[in-house]
Amino acid sequence: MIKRKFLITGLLYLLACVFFGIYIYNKMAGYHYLTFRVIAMIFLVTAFGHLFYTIYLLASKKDKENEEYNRLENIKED
Amino acid sequence: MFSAEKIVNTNSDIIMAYNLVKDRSGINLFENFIDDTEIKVSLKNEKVDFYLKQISKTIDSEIIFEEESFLVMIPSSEDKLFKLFIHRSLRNGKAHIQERINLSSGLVTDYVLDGISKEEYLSNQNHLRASPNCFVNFYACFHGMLALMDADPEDNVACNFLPCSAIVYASCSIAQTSGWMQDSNNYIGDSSCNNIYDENGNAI
Repeated sequence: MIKRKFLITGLLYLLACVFFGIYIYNKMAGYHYLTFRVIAMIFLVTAFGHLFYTIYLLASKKDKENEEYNRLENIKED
Repeated sequence: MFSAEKIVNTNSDIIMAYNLVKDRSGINLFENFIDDTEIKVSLKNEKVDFYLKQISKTIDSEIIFEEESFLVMIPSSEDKLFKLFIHRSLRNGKAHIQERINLSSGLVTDYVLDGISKEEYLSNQNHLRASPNCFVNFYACFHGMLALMDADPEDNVACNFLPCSAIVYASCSIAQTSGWMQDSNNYIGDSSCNNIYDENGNAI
């Protein structure tokens, strides 16, 4: 699940790169298609949002694991 | 550039021209304006220039240039093929610009100016059409584009989060194959470039 989320983050970042590349190439060609830059920025922001959400999920999972470990340790001590 | 010496209005000429273009290029360029029956034929050194009037007419809203474009076919006796290009005429009062446009790339390969200086023409080229920024070589492209993007604050912000150098490198590679660099084998020509940048990122 987490692995797939990281993959999606990478894909979103890659899409941002592709759209920004199209914008740069068009800029070089004399066209100023700002739409491509806007799309790239949307993908970039989404990618970062998704990345932080994935890290949050990972941290939550780790917290749960720690809690479970502590709970089991306490039971063992008792 | 060239001039029409005789005007012929025969349907057979149009059909012949239509079939030749269709057979050789496989595209129906004439489909939209086959009803426009005026063909100008110029006889020069046994070569025949066909002009099909008129494929487009627009008025640029910013500099009010009246545009007329003609599809031109020049039969070449050497390779038995027809050379095709667009002849574009732009008029604004006394100013008259004649351009030869490559059909496949859409870029201006040659131009004749009347009543307008080369500097004025080149400075207005952005309004007439988008022309690529050309570069002296790949190094100039890479550093020139990075400098251009540095100058734009929004691009600059995007570059803080994206691998701009890699993206610019890829774009310059494509530009090199498109002939936008002076050292390319298929260089499009200085007249087709909006700006030419040197290694220091300065327009020359």
